Amino acid sequence: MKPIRGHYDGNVVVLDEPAPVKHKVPVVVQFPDDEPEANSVAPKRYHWDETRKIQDGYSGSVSDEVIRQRRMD
Amino acid sequence: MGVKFVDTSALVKTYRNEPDSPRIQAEILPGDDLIISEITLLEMPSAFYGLTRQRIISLPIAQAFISGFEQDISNYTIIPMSTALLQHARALLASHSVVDGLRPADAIQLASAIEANNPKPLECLLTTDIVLARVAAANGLTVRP
Repeated sequence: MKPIRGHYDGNVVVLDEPAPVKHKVPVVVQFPDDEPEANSVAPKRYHWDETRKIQDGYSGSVSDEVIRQRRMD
Repeated sequence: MGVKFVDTSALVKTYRNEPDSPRIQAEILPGDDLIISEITLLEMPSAFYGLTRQRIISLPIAQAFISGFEQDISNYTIIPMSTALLQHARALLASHSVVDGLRPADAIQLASAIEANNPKPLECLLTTDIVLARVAAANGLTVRP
């Protein structure tokens, strides 16, 4: 069997499948333009490294301030 | 990669090196899906502004920390403070306020974590708030550190 051949936008398109019939038939092709590639998701980047370098001169805990504000009556 | 809910008290320690920061930072791995409550968008800056009011850190320093956090907001999955969530928080407050000392912000954090825990269980809730940790564990959540 010959591979499936067609034309799109002036170019020959060859599909990686043998033709299931020997005569010409119309074929609908959908190009997967909108499908994300498997490894295309960029890793999330946080600003932790930048803020950890800030010299604020405070040896205490901001986390404790979060809790202190929660407990205020 | 795990799904972790990060309470504000723990999230602060990812942005700043302070006591217990290494324990929190070690819990968060590259590729983790980090979930926060919408109230964290208020609690985080409020803590830094609070220290500025107390003249402990300067306003530009506070703003630098807040800016770092705000640039990361789109990286977090945020549990919104919906009407249903606030109703759940009210119920938690009714159950745990008098005996356990749960406060409104705790209740919102806990209701958010419980919502994030369904249908697929969280790997853990990260917090340094002892009250929140105790009540969250009593409600079936895995709490670290």
